[in-house]
Amino acid sequence: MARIVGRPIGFSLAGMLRGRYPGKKMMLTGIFIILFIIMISILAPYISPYPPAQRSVPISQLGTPQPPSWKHPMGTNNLGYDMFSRILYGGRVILYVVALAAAISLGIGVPLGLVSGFYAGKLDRILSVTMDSIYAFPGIILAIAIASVLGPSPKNAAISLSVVYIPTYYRMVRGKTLEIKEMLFIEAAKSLGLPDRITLLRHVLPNVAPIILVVFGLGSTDAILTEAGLSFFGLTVTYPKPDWGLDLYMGKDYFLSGAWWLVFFPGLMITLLALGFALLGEGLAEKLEIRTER
Amino acid sequence: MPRISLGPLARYIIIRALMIIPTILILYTLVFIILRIIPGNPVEAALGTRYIPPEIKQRMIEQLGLNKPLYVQYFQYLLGVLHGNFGTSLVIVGRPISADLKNRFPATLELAVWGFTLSVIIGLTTGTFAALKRGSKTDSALRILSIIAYTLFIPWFGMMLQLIFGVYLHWLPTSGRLSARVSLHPITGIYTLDALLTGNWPAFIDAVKHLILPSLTLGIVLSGAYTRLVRTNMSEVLASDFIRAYKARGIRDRKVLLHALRNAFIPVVTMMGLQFAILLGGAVLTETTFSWPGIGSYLVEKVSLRDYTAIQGTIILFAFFVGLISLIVDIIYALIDPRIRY
Repeated sequence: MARIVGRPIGFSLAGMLRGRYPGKKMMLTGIFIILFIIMISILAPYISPYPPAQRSVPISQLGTPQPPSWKHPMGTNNLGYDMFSRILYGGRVILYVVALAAAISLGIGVPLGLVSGFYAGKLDRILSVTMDSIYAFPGIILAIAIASVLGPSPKNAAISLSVVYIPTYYRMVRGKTLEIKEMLFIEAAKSLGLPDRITLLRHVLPNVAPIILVVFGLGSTDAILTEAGLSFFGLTVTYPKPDWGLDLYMGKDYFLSGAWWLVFFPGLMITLLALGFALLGEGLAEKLEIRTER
Repeated sequence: MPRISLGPLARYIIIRALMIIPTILILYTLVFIILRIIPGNPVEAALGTRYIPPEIKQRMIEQLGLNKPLYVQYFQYLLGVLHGNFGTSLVIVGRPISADLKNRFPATLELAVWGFTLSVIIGLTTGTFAALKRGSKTDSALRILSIIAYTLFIPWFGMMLQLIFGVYLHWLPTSGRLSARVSLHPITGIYTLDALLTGNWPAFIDAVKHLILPSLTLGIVLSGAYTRLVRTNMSEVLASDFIRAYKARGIRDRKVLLHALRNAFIPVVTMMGLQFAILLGGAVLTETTFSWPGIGSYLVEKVSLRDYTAIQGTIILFAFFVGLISLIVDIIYALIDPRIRY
């Protein structure tokens, strides 16, 4: 009977480390990259050689970016700021914004998707059309518009990202809920007279959980690139706050005359962070055999 | 009453075209609401700390219809948009937004079409290659590369290409659409097309040179999704019975591959609409990186000026563009796959 009724697909962190399965290497590499970046961001005040927004070179060198050297492994910019220190600090804003945005999108997108898929009906149709419309629109353009109205701040950037990513969570959760709703164990729960709230939380949600994780991995990849875009356009923080996206923008005027280090390192960090989440999401998708749209 | 009977394909196209309307209305409403969140009103916000005599400010507010009830504003602007009137700029007072958009749009269209074409070509080739070498080292390398491709931060990748091909090798220009020494008589505003129409070869070559780096940036970043889809589909098709039958009949490998490719291509088409939307988002970043004068860089310029009517107009134009592209993609899909009908 157990096979027909369908067993919730559970998994544990310990189980993920043990054994061989497809996607393991990718997933662990992804987790390693993410943890590494989180660690340097936390430890930045203790390990960075200079304050991130203070002159660290003699006055005579002001105005000309200095190439990487033993004293400044990633060089300095025109204001004499040490780029290595700025790189160490520069992940803080993007991590905060993306984490906040993921929490908001999860908190709104998942319950809406569950309820919408479970009850179907008129509300479901209205929500679906609305979410699909937002989903089909280029995320960064919408985020730019919202952020430009709210004004530049990390919190506003997170709100802008949430509006863009709620539909991603909503769509995946709704789709999976529609599928699970038809399964026998849900029908059993219903016929036993279990209240809908309990059925949703205890029986539907655990089965939807794996897909939420995959969406979290791949959605965060997008969110990181979008947030970096907002930073790049000056819509998250204002200079001289260290931030990879903004530093990349500030280096734009200097790199064509040879100061490659001003753009190479900040951009590399953004791509690396995005890659970490992509590998995590891809690995998870492969392990859980979930097909993605990517 | 005579009933007009339509073929199933025509019916499909009409229904699909009508489906764009709610999508655009929803985005329009969303943008409308977002822009009303601004504390005070857009005029005050755009002016910031600049001093403008109150009577002129009042005139601007009246001109924009901001003194009318919200629902009147909502429908008045919508009606204007449908007539191609996107309102006037808040910063360069009185300048119609539609004129700017008309000027800038061809550049974005040209970049998007080239970038899109490149992404499909790169995706098809690498995907087919991976499917043929399935399970090999090349296959897993291509898999990782396709993941890296979509995690590349566009401005960074673009700048790296500028650095290599522009600064170090001096092969390609790093910004703009045309060199100053080249003259071109604009017809459509799509430079490569205009150059061909007027038979202006030097301009054509120059325009292509300017297009290579920005469209390659977009093409590579967007190719990853195609690589993977084509690989999966190709592997399935190559293992299917009809391909085995072809091979058994002794048909040459190249011809078999073409048949397989055609079948593997159908699912790729369904993805193109969404991919094109992602590409337009990427175009905003690409245009800014390569000083490409399209509507993407226009949006960014207007954001820093807080010209909210211009921002509103640009977003709505993007919405129309996305809607139209997804319609075209769906029609193409229906044409090549006869199973798709309402």
